[in-house]
Amino acid sequence: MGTSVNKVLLPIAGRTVLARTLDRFELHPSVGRIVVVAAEHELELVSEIIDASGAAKVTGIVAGGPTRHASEWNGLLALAPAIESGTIGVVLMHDGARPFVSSGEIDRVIAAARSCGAAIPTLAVAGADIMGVSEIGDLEDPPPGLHAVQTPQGFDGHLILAAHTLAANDGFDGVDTASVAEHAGHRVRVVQGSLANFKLTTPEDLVRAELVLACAGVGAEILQV
Amino acid sequence: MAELPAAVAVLVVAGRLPIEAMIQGRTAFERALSALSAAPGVREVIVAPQVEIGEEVRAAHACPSTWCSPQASRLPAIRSALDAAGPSSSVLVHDADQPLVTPRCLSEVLVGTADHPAVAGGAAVKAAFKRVVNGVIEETVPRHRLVRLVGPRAFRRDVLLQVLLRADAERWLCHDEVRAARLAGVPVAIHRMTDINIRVTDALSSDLAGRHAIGL
Repeated sequence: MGTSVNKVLLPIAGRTVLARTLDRFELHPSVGRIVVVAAEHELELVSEIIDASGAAKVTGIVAGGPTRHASEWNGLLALAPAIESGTIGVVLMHDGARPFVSSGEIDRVIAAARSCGAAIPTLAVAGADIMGVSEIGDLEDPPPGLHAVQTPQGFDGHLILAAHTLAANDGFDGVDTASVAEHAGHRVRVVQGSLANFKLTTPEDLVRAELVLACAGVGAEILQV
Repeated sequence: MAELPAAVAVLVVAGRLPIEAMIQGRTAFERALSALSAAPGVREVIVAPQVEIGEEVRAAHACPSTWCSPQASRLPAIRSALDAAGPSSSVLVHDADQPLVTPRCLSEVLVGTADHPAVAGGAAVKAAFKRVVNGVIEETVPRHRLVRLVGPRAFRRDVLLQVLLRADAERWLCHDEVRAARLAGVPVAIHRMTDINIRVTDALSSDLAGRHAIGL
């Protein structure tokens, strides 16, 4: 993102992105514990941020892997005993770089994951900005029913643990958690996402986030850092 | 790199915001106009408004640009600009609400018309995308099979003119020249872009463009 520092460790309006994201889950009544997955070389700094944030639900900080998929797997393994014992029913996978997720979105994902086993928030692609690319590189119509994916992605704990185990055995590397469930043959339901729950990917996203906070006047259980 | 075709540039002004939004001391319109005027290959710039623009603004930018009368929608505005333009083999179309486009980016899209009848600037998509049927994911769509259309478009002039004439004659419900070209069966090549090309649509994006103009 044009900076050597992980974006989630950067402040927006005086509080790190990570702390702001943690706040959303810390305050949600249905979230019982949080495991944070971070790059190994950032574990100490992440730990300091978590301590300073006052996030009491964080029960573990786990070293990530070389890919998003590998990091999710490491986080999931940390929760495996609790999933297998039935202590944890639903697992939410969230991007640490999405600090504006709402309580309503978390509610919707949890409810759909409980009833269907797997659910993710999406936004239907509207307008003509996103187009398809043909085999020879020309524009073509986008696939019908195209949706942009957001997080948190929610899953029945047993379902996603088994799906990730299958992926590990198959050497499958998913672009997101839902694709791991898809690979295992599960139906993944979509729930309504929101434009406000945007991911901080570029420097301008950070500026946008600061402006959103300034305009608003405001200050799962696995958190992908 | 293929030889740059001689081009007329059409600067579409769809609303008043680009005229009014200040981006670090210059309006969005002025920045876009400046980039088009400096783009290699561009021989003249025609401003194609879709709203009435005050005489003082028109007079201030009468040179190096030519102004057309306002048209109610985009395709007639572009057609009007082509009618007012001098000879050229290609047409570059850009929106005044995208002020951070660079002359280099514009010429890179333009040069594509040497090999293709139509070219659109496109950026890689960042998000994951799924195809959804009846509320359930059908498949994950590979990112390389999608593109986000941004910024300038370029056409061979005769091709664009035929597309616009047909859209008008057949009353296509279409407000975008790339979509119209595709409806007419014209293949549109993609020029992969990395330029920041923020669209100024409100105070937030205007502020963002301003910060970006000075390197954040």
